[in-house]
Amino acid sequence: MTAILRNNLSFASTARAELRGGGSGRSLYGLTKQEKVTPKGRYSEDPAAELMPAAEFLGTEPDFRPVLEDFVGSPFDPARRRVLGRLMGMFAVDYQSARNEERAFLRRLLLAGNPREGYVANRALHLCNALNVIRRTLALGVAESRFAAEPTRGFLGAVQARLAVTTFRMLGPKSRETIWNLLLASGTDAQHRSVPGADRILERALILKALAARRHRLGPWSRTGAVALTEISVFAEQIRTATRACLAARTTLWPGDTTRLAPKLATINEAGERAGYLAQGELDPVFAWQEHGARLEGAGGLPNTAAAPEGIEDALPELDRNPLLVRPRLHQALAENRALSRLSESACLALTEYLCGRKLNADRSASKDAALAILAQEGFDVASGEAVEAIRQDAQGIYRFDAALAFSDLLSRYTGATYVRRVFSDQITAGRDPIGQITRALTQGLAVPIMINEMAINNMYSLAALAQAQQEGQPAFAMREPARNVDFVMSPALLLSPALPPLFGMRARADAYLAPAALDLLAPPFGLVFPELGIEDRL
Amino acid sequence: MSLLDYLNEGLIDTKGLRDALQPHVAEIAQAWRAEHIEPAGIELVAEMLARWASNLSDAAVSGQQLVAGVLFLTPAKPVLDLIEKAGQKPLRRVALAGLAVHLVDIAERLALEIYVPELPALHAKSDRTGDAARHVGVARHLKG
Repeated sequence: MTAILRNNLSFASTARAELRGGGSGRSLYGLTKQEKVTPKGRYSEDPAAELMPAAEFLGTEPDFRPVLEDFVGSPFDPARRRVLGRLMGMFAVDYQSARNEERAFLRRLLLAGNPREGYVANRALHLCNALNVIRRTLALGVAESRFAAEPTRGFLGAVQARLAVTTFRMLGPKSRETIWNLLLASGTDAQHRSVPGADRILERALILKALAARRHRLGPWSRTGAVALTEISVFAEQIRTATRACLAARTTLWPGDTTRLAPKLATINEAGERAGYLAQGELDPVFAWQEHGARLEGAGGLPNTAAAPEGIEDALPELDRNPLLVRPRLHQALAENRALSRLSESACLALTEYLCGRKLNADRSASKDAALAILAQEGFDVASGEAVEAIRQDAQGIYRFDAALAFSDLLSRYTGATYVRRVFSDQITAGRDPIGQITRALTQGLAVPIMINEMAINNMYSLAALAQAQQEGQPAFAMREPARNVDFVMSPALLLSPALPPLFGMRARADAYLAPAALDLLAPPFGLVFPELGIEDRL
Repeated sequence: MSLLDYLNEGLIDTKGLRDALQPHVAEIAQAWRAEHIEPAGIELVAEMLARWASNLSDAAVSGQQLVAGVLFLTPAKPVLDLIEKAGQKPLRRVALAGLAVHLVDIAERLALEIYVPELPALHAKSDRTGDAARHVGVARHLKG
């Protein structure tokens, strides 16, 4: 949360941000004894951004001058650091409070072939609350080069890494367990001992990439979800204990290693078809692996007398089996059901009310049971009965469920943003400008969901501000209420008024909005740049 | 007049994606929602096309070639129809990227249509029941 808010602040001041040397100490070079030094304090706009180079490099290097020379011309050159400089701030905080594994990870990230993309991935994974070990694994998969000749070509892209994390989090309990077991077994032999020469970090990154490539088949109403999971399991078992060179060459179709080319590639001469073939290999490592003949060049043949202990940096913790983790998937099932109509409207409503902890009469209770039965029968790994009870108890009691994060998981793959819930009245009391925030988000092309509360009957419903508009010559918002299929234009003043017109409900007022926070706001869709369309990487 | 006729004018102009596409994005999203098309499938097709475009140098690909190339993702028929219509004239790199971004826009709009109405339920919690309040009280008592 802190990271998100700080990031938002920095976004607001992008135009006038001056890093003033970025805290690397580089500004000292231009300073001679004769120059006047102003006694004013030198306050950075983003103090954390100042710390990263100092913390990472000066902490281990007694003479910092050679280190700073290495910066020049690199993406970390303070003279060229803009948004990226601010990205560094997040890792400075990590670094200072980090344990050894985080420090080792940051060093490895900086030494990788494409640290810039790795940083972008690490930042996005931070913002979507990825588990630390998964974040590190994926960021290294992004930053480290597949082929020595092409250092910036990683094992997956930053956006793919983020999609892998949200896909994993949105899985049902059994699927999550299956994937976790595959991750645990990576790089080990049948006796669960680490195999020297195997690269378990890359194996895990590729398993998660394969998961992201099947995200459209893993939804709660999917009919092919089990097949998709089987494909991933087979792939994970086939690549287990493979050498790094084998993983690099055989999980892509890109001809980076001429000794390990996919046989079919040589037979495709038509440029358009070849591009499509390569694209499919970039999208899905399982396809690439199969096109290479699914042949393992393992490290398992090496003498395994001294099985490598699991490194502290790649030890997976126990899988989090908190039943609240399945609540977003339940809501995904209910939301998608509005179009699919597998559950009746009354069954949907009854289940929603039950999840929210409300008391149900006998009829409603029967509808809820019917809904759960259909979910168990027709849904794909949605939730167990015990999980539903736990969710209900949470809603009735302490309420630890993070609804904004759940909503982000539902939408981030489409909008590229994560969301922070902000209450209008709180924002105004704190002197913030909610209308300005909404306007800025709309300017960046991001829709802003808004919740309306009908106070007289304690009912909430949601709208989305889609674009800026004009109403009687004044700036306004183009709004949509998807549930009722209604479009309208609304003035900002009306949105902040204590009571909306009766048209909006009984004593209605705008309660809260979901502010899109930075995630991929500055990265192009799928991390691919097309400057001719104005789609550029502004990091 | 067909829903996809706007594609006859192409997706891009000299400045990038045509501004006039946005109303069509909304129209198509609503039509596809009625046909139970999931945004997840559209988004992945868009990714495939974007990667295809990034690997394409000077060549062009036809709509039929594109349809054949994304079939492994089993997209819905209306999605395939849109791709085929957009590729009635072979698409070069930038035009293909434009098609991918157009599909991203449609998927985003469709996702908003589907998931925004679920927002109040996601945030809902009950007023604390007497039973739950008693449990909290007991827990505090036991904790000391």
